[in-house]
Amino acid sequence: MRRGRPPRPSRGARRPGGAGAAKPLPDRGRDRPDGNDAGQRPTGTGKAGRAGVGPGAGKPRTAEAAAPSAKRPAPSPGKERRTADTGPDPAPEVHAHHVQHNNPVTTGPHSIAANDIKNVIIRWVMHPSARWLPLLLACAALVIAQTTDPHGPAGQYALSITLAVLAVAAGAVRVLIRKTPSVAAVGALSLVSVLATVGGWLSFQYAAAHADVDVTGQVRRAGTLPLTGRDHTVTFTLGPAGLREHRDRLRLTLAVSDYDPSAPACSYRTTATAYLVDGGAPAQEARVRSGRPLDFVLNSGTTSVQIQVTLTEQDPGQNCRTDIRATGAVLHDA
Amino acid sequence: MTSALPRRRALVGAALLTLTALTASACADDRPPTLFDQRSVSVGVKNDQPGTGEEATYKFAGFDITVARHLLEGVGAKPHFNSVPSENRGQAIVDDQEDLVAATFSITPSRMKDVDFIGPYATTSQGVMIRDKDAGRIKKLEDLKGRAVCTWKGTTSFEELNKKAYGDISVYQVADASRCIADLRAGRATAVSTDQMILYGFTQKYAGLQVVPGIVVGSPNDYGIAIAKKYRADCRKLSDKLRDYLNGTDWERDFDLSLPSITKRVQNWQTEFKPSADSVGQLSCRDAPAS
Repeated sequence: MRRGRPPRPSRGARRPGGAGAAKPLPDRGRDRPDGNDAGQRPTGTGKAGRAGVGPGAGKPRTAEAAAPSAKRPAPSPGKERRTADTGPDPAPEVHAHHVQHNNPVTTGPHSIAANDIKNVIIRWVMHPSARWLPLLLACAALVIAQTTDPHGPAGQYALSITLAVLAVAAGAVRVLIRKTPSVAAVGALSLVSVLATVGGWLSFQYAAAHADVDVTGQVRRAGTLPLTGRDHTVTFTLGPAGLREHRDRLRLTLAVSDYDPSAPACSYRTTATAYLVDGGAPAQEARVRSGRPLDFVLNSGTTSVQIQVTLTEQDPGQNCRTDIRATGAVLHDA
Repeated sequence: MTSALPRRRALVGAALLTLTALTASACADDRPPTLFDQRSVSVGVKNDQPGTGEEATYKFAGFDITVARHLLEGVGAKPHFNSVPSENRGQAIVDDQEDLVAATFSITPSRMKDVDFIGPYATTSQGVMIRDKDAGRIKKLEDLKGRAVCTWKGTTSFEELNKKAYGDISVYQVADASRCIADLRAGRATAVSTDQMILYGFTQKYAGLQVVPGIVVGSPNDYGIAIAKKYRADCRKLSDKLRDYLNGTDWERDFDLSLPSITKRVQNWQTEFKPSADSVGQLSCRDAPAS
């Protein structure tokens, strides 16, 4: 008869996903003063605990006995504690802590340990239905992002696209794994997929909030055409509809050309100057060069933008007939 | 054994020659085509416009011819002049019938799409020419209301006068300039309309005709020498020579020699007819005017 510290629980009992079967403890039940089989209390769906001896060992195990709420079997009244006078020291109370896959077992005052949390997470990660969650989450985020009809060039969404691809790829690998992989591998894949989905979503939101907005089709031109030495002013207006998404600046590209291409070239003899109409006063004056963008700073909360372009002939009286068109208008942040 | 060595040498020599030939042909293909390797450069010019381009006893003379000769000799090329009708000026370049065309050819955005220009080498506005005896009643454009004004095919003059702004003028087109002069002298037309440089040239040859100074139609015309787009490198060389020409004093000398009717009658003729050297870069060797 062996006394002293109880043996450690078997490794098979600790490994998650394993059989979870606890190896039977050494037959010490008769020697224990309380007749308890070291307080071991099988719970969950794991296999029954030791089939060892003890007062209750011979009794058939039932579901109630296996339930966590089952009471501890009372010590056999027939048992007597051994005393120091009569023999070896009484066996100390043992608080064993067996870890079984999906079947944690605790006793004593240290009821919740870090391993419990870990086991819960592992149980979730390794659950068969959890295979699809990361991929579904990534795909859902992709679909929702597309339905918002994001503006601006694709380059602004490069980071979110990259993270989306990573999220879908990791989720797909997670789904396609057939053989039971390690917890670490599965957890890593799931974590990467989820983090990439979240990161991609956040970067998409940021890019969408600050993306360039092409409003070329919403710029209206007012003024007499062709521009001549007499009628030499044209105004480009961007109304409230084009300014729904506020940005700090407007990048406007104008094309200056001869009104009649079959007539002698004359527009090169003219100079066009553009300025922002700010409260009726000209501001941010800029020389217009055909095909080159002009950048105007917009007031916060503005609902309408007017840009006036004035044409001047290098030598008055040349009768140049000039056309000015807006070929590009993009709202953007600095 | 003794015959193998010469055979090997022959093979090596042939391989080297082949390699050299291939390398030479590859290098040769990289060079852009040029007009200046030819024995002479053919230049299409007008033959019926005194002062700008006229043929007399198989010799061509006029400001267009002078400018073309000056630029080509500046790059070491020899010109050979041929006559070209107004309506064929651009097509002659596109069809490779002429290497260059220097024929009071106005630079327009639509023409710049088809050919390159070296210019402007002269600037003029569209005007009208009348008989001396009509000088008292034809002084401004409105005086031509309801009158027959002659232009000829292939010029921008007809399109300009045909616009709505000049709707009261009865403008018509004939085959060439000589027909218009004949109509004017015969009284079938009240006026002939085209570029003032050309009209002043006619007054040097035909007595009893004058250009109305107060009448200007449309915007100024810039004359350029047309060249095929595939010779863009040659175009740039010639335009560099043109800049030097405009920056010097030879332009005024040559202009006065060709068109004394202008230099004697128009007070600010250098300002009106001489383009700036900067404008050469805005119109030469481009697909569209700079802006």
